[in-house]
Amino acid sequence: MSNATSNTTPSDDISRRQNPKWVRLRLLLKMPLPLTAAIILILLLIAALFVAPYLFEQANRQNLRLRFYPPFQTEQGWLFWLGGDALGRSMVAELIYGARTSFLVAGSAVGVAASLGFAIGLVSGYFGGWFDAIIMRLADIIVTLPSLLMALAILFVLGPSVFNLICVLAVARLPVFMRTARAQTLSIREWTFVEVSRSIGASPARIIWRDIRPLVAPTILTVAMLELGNTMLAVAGLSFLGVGLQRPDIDWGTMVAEGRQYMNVAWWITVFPGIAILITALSANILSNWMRAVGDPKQSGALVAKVTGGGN
Amino acid sequence: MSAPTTKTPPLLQVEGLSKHFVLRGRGGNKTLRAVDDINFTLEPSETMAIVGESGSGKSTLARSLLRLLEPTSGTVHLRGQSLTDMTHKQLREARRSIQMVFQDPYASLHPRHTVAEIISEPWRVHRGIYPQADYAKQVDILLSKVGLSPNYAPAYPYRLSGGERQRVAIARALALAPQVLILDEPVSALDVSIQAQVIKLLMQLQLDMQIGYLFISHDLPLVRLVADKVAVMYMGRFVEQGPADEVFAAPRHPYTKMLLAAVPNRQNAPTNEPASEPTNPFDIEAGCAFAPRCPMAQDICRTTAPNRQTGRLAAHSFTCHFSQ
Amino acid sequence: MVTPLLDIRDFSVTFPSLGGDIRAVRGINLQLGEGESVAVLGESGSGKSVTSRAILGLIDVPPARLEGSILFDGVEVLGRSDKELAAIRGRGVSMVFQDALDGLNPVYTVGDQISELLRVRAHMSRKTAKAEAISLMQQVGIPAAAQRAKDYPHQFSGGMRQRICIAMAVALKPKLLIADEPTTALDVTVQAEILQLIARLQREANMALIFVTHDLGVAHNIAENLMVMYAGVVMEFGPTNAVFGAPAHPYTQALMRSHPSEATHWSDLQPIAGSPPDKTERLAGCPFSPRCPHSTDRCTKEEPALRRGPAGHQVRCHFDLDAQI
Repeated sequence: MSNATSNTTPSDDISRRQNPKWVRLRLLLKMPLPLTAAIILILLLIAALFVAPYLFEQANRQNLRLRFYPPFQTEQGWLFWLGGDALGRSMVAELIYGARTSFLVAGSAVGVAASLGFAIGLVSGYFGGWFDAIIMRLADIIVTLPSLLMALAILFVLGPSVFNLICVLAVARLPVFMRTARAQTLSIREWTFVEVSRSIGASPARIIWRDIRPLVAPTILTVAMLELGNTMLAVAGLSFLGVGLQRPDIDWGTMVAEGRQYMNVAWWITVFPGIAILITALSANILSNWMRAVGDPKQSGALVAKVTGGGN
Repeated sequence: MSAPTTKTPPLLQVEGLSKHFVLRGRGGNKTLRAVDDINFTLEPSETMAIVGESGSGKSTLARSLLRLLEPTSGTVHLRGQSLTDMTHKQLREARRSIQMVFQDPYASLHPRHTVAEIISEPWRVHRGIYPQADYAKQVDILLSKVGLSPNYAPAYPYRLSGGERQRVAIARALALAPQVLILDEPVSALDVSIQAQVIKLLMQLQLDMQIGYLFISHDLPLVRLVADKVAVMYMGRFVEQGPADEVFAAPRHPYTKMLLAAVPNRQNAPTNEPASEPTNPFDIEAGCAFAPRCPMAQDICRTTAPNRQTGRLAAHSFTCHFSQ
Repeated sequence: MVTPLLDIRDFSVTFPSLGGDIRAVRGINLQLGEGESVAVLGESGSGKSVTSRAILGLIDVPPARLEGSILFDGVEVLGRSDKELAAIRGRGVSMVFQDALDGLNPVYTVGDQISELLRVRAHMSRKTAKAEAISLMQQVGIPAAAQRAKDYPHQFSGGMRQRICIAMAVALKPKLLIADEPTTALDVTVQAEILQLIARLQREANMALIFVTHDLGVAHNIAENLMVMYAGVVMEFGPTNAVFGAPAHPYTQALMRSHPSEATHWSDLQPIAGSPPDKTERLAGCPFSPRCPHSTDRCTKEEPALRRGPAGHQVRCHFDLDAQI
């Protein structure tokens, strides 16, 4: 045996070929826009998870002496760098605490929608048939309903609460994930390695879990990043309309809504949370776009060229 | 083996195997006979080649044998056991004995699994072959069988060349120690400088392990080197089959002759330029499927389907009205 | 000295990628006169397709980086805009691709597509263009051309589609036809017919021909010159009969020895060891040295130049090796 193949043995040294994961990280470090977006989101996440819990009290403590306290003054300490609101609460504390609820609500909604949609999409894409038909018609129905209007109606009836809000948003976002997962499953199902698994004798459950799931996951993650931005906007919108979060839970939408009537006297109460929403949604969008581009071999070549300054 | 009085059934016996696809259309249903009435047997250490052009039904035949596609009719027996009558659960178990190597090693290996995971996957599906602790050792043994070093075990497929990938695919197919290996164009997706390596490896493995090979290919020069038996497939049927030496030396069916004449090689440049395209598989109403392309077609060929004739050797048969 | 129709000098192509730069083509030289033909033989990744595409300006810059020069009819092709290249494409150079479906628009009949080309590029009237389109379809051997001109691409078989692509490629009477593996996707019987067709058209119209292929048998029959490429460089170049008759490069020799038609039994096959190199690496010496049976220290350190070999044609090897196959 060894005689027959020893002269045709391929080279043993395969370690020198690079792992694309690290290359991608290096690529991110060289691209200012997605890098900034990633840094902003990470900082916001840290603030929301680790800083915000200490600021709950400050975010709700009223101090009538500091009503409409203007921003960029240092006498009242860092809590009042961005000014005070109509009841003299610290804008900084409110913004950070608002970030926490925004992330928490939007994150949970997207998390629930993504994992549920992922699972349903995999199963209905792999098996097809009546299950798939029913699921996809349901998705069509959800998509045709204007989601904001539907959420408004449901929250109006059920009453606004964090739990209801998450549920409503998750259902509204479910079809996106279901369809993405299903579409990818449909194409991956036809790949040869799935046929190989069947020829080995693997069960459908095993094929879905071992073969298809790992390949659909990155796309789901990319879509989730995009949806996170969209959902944060939706949360802010619903809060602004008064069916979202209620005091003492505040988010940026609530702040914009509260500050609206004082636009003439204290612009900062509206503008700062507005900017926060804008930056976060934008960052999520940019990062999601970048993730998609890097995952696509056609586009990643052009990215590398841009970064390395190639082609002239 | 078994008692001397009873004859051992063939390793693989295929009888009357057909796979028809019904396509529903406005003008009524149409039947595509992708595989039609296929008969052959395969013994250990034997290589049976199935040659034909794209659309001839070679790959559909391979998938019907394994019941990756459900055959319309006919039987497949493995050592006397009917694969076609098995439940899905029994079938999953039986697939241990028949494994397949696919054409494209870039598509047949999962991009997110390491070489070790890919090769040991069959053992994870069929528990109890080796204890889990032995997987790493057994993977190394299989890697060395296909001429790769153990260094490849933790590597992901993207780091391998086409030839290395196909070796991994072969190692996976061997993991369950199959008795029959279906090789679906195993080298046609590889670079020319790699093809000979992989062919030699496969044939050496057959010598060592006495596996029966079903070698599907369109590459006639290659088939000539490896096959013991050849079947020429055209529009779902075997139009000629027999011992490889005999079919290559004395082809009897006009289609076999046409295929052999069309091979571009250093000795002869092809000389004819007729526009002889495969016919639409739905158009065949009566007569011989090859008649529209056949240089020697007569009226009878278009009206009556030809019968099977026997050539100089009893094992050599072909389907044609004429016998020269 | 007469200027050749096509003059490629020190031409290189580099693609940036996640794993580092891919040097697809390194320093190719090729001169081709009117009516001359060359077969470019190589494996996947040898740079053969990239070179042929560059002549038509089909490589996107960026991401690619191009160096050297490609003169067609005395005009520099590299660095031209698509608009400037339009004058060269079709009338000067045209191309037939591996996948015939890529070259045809699925929503127009083939007759419309050919006559549209003639009307726009050759300024023919609607009527003459239509007649010319049918005549072209007859020339490439499509039976009942007048009726079939009304059919859509999907109604044709693969071989017939490739014939239509060839008809479109020769419609404007180009001086150079580039065929990039035009028969790889086709069956052997159809392949033989298409090869005959291309050879006949080339002869009749005195076109120059670049035929890219990975198939030794095809390369042997299609052109008068043969260029063997490996890892982005030319390994051997010369008249086809000379190269096949007395291959001077170990790669060409090994390729011929490993071909099934050279053996009578599988055990006679003489495989080439190893795999083609990963092109993101920079090899100091000869790119074939890791797989070469004659490799020495010199081969791994110093890249050989293309030079006149023992049999009279060009070869990139340090040694004069016996041309035994």
